[in-house]
Amino acid sequence: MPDARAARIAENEVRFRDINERLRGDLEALTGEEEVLRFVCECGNASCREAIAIALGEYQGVRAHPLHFAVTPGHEIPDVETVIERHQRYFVVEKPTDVADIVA
Amino acid sequence: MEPRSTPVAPAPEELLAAIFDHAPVGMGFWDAGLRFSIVNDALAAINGIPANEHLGRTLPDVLGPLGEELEELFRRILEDGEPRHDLVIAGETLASPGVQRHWLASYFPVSDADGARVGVAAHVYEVTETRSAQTRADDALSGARAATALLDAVYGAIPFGLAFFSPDGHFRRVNQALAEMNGRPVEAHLGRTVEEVLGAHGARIAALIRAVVETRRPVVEEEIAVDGDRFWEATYFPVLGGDEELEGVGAVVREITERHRAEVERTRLLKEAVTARAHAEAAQVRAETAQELAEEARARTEFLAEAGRRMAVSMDFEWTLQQVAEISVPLVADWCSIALLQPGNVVRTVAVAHVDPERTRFARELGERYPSRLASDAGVGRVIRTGEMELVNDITDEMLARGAHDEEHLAALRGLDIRSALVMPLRTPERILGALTLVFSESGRRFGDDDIALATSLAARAALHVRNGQLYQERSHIARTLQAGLLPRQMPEIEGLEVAARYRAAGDENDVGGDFYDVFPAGDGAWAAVIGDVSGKGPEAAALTSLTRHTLRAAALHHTTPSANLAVLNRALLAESDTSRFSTVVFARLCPGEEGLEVKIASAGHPPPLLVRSGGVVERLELRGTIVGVVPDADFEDVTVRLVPGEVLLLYTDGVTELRTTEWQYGEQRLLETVQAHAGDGVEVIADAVLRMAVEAQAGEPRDDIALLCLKKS
Repeated sequence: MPDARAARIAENEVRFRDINERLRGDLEALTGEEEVLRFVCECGNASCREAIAIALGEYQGVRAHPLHFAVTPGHEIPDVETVIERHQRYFVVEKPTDVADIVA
Repeated sequence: MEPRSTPVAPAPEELLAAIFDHAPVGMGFWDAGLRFSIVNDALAAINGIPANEHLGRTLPDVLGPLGEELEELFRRILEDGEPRHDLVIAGETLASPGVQRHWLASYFPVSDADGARVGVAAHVYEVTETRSAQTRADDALSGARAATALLDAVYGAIPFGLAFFSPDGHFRRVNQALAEMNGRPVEAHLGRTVEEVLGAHGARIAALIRAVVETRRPVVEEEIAVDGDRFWEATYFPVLGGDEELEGVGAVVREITERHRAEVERTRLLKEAVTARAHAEAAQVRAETAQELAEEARARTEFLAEAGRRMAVSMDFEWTLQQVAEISVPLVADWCSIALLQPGNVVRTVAVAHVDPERTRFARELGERYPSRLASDAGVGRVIRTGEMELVNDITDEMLARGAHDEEHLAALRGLDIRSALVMPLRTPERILGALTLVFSESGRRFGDDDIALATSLAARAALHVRNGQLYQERSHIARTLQAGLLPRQMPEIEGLEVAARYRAAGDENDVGGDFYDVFPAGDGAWAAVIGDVSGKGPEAAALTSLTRHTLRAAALHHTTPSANLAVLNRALLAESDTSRFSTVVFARLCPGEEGLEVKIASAGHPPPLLVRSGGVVERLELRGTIVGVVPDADFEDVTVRLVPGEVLLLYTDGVTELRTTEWQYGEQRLLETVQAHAGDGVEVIADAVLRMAVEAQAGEPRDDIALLCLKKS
């Protein structure tokens, strides 16, 4: 079981991811996979106001894995997640399995 | 060669009759009066009445309006003698009422041998069918011309591009709009393929035309980008002839650049809208999270404030620590316990709490049976020994086994379902006093940074509270010890005299009061009874009280008058203290005698003693005298009174008459009434009554020390 901080961070990330999921659903009917769009940064900092520039296809790639989140470069929180992809416009972080119940 | 025979010619009348009878055309003769004279069957059939019924009748009579027109014509022929050939006559006859029919007719005058005109002859050939066919042909031609004209007009006027292709993909017809779309004149299209006209773009269209030719089904291109910023919409469709043979492929092309731009703009706005909505939702999440964090922070602050209030209630820190432990669950943890290091390096659990009282009781008993060991390499003992907090978020069975005293203890620990534990030292600058333990069990929670911060604050407050409590206890012990030294351990047994004393220090137990009393032998069988009030409280007042008490005890051995003793005291106080410290004292020298108890008494600015005379009369014993310790030439007055059996002398300090009012007389009045009410009682009863009255008068919390000495002649 994760500690309270790790759980809180994961909960924040899930809340932002849920918003992006709805945004992705709306955008799929409006644009192609290549267009770079403004998604919400899915980092665990609840006060983060950044947007990530990511193409719909790229975001769908991130979303394909339930433990993965797209964050603004530098917004990763190393002690609770691992950066697995580094792109110029965004990073992909992977959550540990002990928060799988929260994020999956 | 056979000789040619001479032909036989019929008579003219016979020939005429034969011609009339067999001619396939209508024939007739009208006399000069334009009445039917001869009518053959063919003409009779045209007119719709038998031939013989014509004879002698006029043209209008037989043919109606048509007859009127013909009669006029015949009249002109009779006049001018000119034949009229191949006239097309139209009209209705009785043969086909309501049907417009057509005839090809020739009319010519008939003259006799003298050249006189004797009538009009005619032959009439019905041409209705022929005429109808011609009319249809003419109409068809006219329709085709109209359709062509209409098609031309449509091609020219319609704002869409129109084209017609031969089945092999050559332009056959193009309107101006399409020519302009393609940027070439109409003539540059005709006879050419779309590839020849439009290049690479044409190849794609040619493929579509071929598809229409093959499938004979329309093909629609919804959006064609041209030059990147212009857009078209095109439909290609088969054109079939009357025999269902494919004549070619038609095309309608419409520019939709504006519509495309509008759709692009609409899409852009929609994307912006849904994106903005998502970011607004994120802002809402941030606001809600901030609110949650603020509420959690407020809850933590309120918890710490409440813990502080609980700890401020009493300096009995073991009791208050239990209170703190109880409010910690389940807000801060599922379990909370506090252990203190006792003398002899014994670790004792002083507080345990769980939301379930039964589990609390079980854990308390467990703690008493298996106290933490200071030498432990983990848990409470280690934290107290090292002063370092300990956090274990995943407690294993192996850890429990290491900390258990024995198998039974281990089984009990397993029963507590401990999963995460946080042990904080209760630290003061000087030493570690104990440890605060928070445990998560059934909730499954784990400790995070906020929990550690909260536990740190709670432990700091608890440590300070414990330290203050310990200091308070130490000071209370000192104060009690010192106070005891300033008062007689017990009242002496004096023959013929009952003595009772009461003392109640104001405030908490930490301060030594300034009031004192004493009863001691004064030599020559006499006794001294003293009561006084030293200004101030605490160690300085205690020192002054001690000086006062022992000075009077010593002085009494040398001076028989109270005033002399007070004078000695005055000098002693002036020598030992500044004038900010002073005392009020009543000194009574008690000399038992056969006629009762003689009391010589003097006061140094002290409240007047009371005498309870036989019969219950209470007298205030007004004594003049200055307070001691202020001026060198203090003046005191000795007064002698005598107590007979049953009479009482009551000495008291101003705490007895202190009231929560500025009306000090009211306090004295209550004292008098109390004493009077107990005039016949023993000294213990009187002393209790007076003390109770004094305490109650100050709502149970006296602001000043209370001392009283009650002497009764028995």
